[in-house]
Amino acid sequence: MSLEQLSIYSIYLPLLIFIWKKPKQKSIRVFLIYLLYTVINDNALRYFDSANILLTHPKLENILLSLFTIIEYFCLAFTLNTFIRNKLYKRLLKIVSIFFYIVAIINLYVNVTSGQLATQKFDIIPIATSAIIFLSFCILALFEEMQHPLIGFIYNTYKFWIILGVMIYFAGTFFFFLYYTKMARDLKELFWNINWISIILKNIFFSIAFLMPNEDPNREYYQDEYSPEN
Amino acid sequence: MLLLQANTQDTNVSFLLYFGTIGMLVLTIGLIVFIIFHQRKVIRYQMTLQKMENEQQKLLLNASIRLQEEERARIAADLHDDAGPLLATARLYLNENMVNLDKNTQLQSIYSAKQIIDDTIQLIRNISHSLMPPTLKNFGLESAVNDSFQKLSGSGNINASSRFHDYKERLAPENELIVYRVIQELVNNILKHSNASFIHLTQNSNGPKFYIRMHHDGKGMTQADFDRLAKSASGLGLKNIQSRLKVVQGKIFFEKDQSQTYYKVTIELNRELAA
Repeated sequence: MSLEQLSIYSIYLPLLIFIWKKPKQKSIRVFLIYLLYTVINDNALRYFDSANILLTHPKLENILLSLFTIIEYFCLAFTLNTFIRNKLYKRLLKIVSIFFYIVAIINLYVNVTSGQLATQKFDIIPIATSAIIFLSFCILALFEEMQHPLIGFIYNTYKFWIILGVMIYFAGTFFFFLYYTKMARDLKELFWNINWISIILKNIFFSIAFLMPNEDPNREYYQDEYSPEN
Repeated sequence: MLLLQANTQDTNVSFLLYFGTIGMLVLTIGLIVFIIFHQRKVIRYQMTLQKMENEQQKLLLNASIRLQEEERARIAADLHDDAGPLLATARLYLNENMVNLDKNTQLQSIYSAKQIIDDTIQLIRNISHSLMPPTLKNFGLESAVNDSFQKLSGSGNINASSRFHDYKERLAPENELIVYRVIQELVNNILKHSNASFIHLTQNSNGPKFYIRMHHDGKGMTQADFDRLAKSASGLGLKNIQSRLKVVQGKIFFEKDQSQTYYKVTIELNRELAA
């Protein structure tokens, strides 16, 4: 089994765990949309490719990829927004999200109207923008989790594993997508493998997140107690 | 030439890609490892603090139990040693043989028994007052402290004075009793250990904060002494002060006056919590 196939099948792992564990957190439920859409998008692209529809409708791939970037951004940004506690950071995330949507919609419009194919033209700007936004806000969310007095060991929370998955995925593929159009064919082959590994890791981390208990088990231990210094 | 330029560009891109991707992954993993280790360290520190806090609580609880037992023993001793013999004597005066005695002797016996019963009543009243001073119950902390300081001054051993500047609204009765007991304990300590010639108590308020300050010219304590003694196995009275103040979420500070002549003890309460 190739890395590509493994990464394609790895998406079913968090999906199955999601269906089995039925997490109650609102933020995780949005993930179901993301996971389902990833499966649908991947399968649709493979079907159009095998049925030679992409040859007759070359813009379809561009549109599907651009739409995927937008929906992926929406789901991950929504989840991150529920993780972040600081109102200022939340507001900041909303502002940068507006900026991202403007960039992504312009990019989608250009994709629809221009004659370039997806292989020649990649969604560099929206992907790079979303990667920078997610990496920055993941660090902020981790920093906040670290400071929160009720949190026990950070790796006992589902948030940590989701953030870890998002960070590894975007850190691993950031430069690859940024230089995709400038890369030689053999280099692309190599870096697609890094992309597949990132996707596999991301799906494993998301699966661990769904396996985490609904409530933080350490929460009770650090309940605030009165101390003379208070 | 064009081919060479293309090759150079490819090398630059691949160099950037390799180092960029590896750098990003190393940074991400490094950051996460740092966060995990840092958090483990913080949690270990919090657990140590929690353990220390629990030990301190245990000490305070033991001190409060010991104090309760001592108080009970004192009341038991007062009743047994003072009220017991008095009542036994009264019983002797009022025995069955009294009917065989002449009228004058009978009257004498009844009078003596009455005297003894009066003494017993006074004794029990004193015990009861030491448990809950009636002045405190009826007229509040200000009157109780003034009364107690007047008595102290009247003994002639020490000059004691008190002044309440802002005590229009009384604290809750149970909290007044706590503050009164803390003041009593502090006065006892001053009398026992400091060899002071005067004690001056003042009460002030600042917004929601309620302050009681005591000055004396004897050998006093600093905050460091208090912290050390409150944590040690000895210093029962100080632990008792600490545990009483914890109930009203109050604070106590021991310091030397700015003039370095007097010692100052400040009790700080939050009126909203203590009222």
